[in-house]
Amino acid sequence: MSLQRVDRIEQRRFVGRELLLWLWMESELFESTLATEEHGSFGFWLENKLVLSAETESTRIRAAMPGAGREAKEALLRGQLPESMGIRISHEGEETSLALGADKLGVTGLKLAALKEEHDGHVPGDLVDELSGKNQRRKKKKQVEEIDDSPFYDRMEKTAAVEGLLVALYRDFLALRLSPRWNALIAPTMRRWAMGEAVDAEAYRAAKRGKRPRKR
Amino acid sequence: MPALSGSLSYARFFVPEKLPRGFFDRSLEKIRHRAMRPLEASDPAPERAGWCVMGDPLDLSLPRERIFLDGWVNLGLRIDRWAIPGPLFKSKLREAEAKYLEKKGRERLGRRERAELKEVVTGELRKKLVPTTRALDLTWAVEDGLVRFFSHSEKPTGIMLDLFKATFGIELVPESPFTLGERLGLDEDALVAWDELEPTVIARPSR
Repeated sequence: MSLQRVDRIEQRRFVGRELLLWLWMESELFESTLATEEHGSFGFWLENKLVLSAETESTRIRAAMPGAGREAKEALLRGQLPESMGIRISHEGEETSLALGADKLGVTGLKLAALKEEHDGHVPGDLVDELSGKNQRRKKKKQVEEIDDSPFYDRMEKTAAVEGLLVALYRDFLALRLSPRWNALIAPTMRRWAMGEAVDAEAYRAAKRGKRPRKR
Repeated sequence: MPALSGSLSYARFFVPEKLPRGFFDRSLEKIRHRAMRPLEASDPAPERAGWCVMGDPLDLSLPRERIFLDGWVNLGLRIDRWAIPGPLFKSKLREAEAKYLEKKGRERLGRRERAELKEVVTGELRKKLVPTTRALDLTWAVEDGLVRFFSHSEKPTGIMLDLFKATFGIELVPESPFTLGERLGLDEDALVAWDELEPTVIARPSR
């Protein structure tokens, strides 16, 4: 790996922390409703755990809404940025929770929306069969012998869908982060938001798209 | 937090190159060459790692149908380690030292003698103990060139990266904000902007 590439990876890991910060701020400003072009709008909010840090100092918050209290914003104002945060996503009627790490964009404790098999299982089917007088013994023996890979495929499919949403959010974030709008608009808004000042969410939404806010 | 059940905790890695035709036909043998060989008491190594069937650390036969699923390569990374409890080792070593000194009619041990006794005691204790076994899942989505490794710990990750390279000849690229951006297609201007990025400061200015 070239030195330049190593530098691009190692010297800019803070971008992951800024992604988490941006997601946190937007989820608050837009009342837990975010959107991407391909996914439309979906529920997105922080939950359970938020870890902020800077060098040797760190703040760990465990709460139902860990980003909502002043403690989290005060940590930001002391120079800490999110290191990992618990997230809940509600998309197309399915709820997913996970913790997203900033530096390696690693996923921890991803709880997928209940899989069909887990909902239905074989029990109700067995019961229906039993009631209708069918014997399930032979079928069950066959199931033991053959390994059913469908739960694996289902889990990976759902995992990839969650990742797809996170990647789409990252793409939108990166478009802003690498544009002059970041320093002109996003960063100052973040500071005001962290200070607890009122932020006009709609004006922010319009401005980040490069549009003037509509007059009300 | 395995791939097959419960909640999932994993790190993402990417295959940085296009795979040649017939790559996976040649891979099965290579995987089997790197299958886990359980630790024996007589082995000098304190730790060993190798592939096993994903979700079944005791299955080291690695049948094709358990590894190659439609579009996926699934493997378990099994790591065995001798973990001798410190207090047990110390007390057995003291016993052995006392016996040795009594036999030799001396009061002190030389440095080499002590090292040799340590080896003897370690070997004896290993015969009575069972190594600890850890198995971690790895799934490779071939089409996407994406490997999900179900651990965030540094040591097993390092072992996995080495074993993966030794098996497949591929140096995996760990996910990071830059690599993800790169895959999303950073153009020249974006790369220049990336190189010039400075951290965003939210902190109150110090007085």
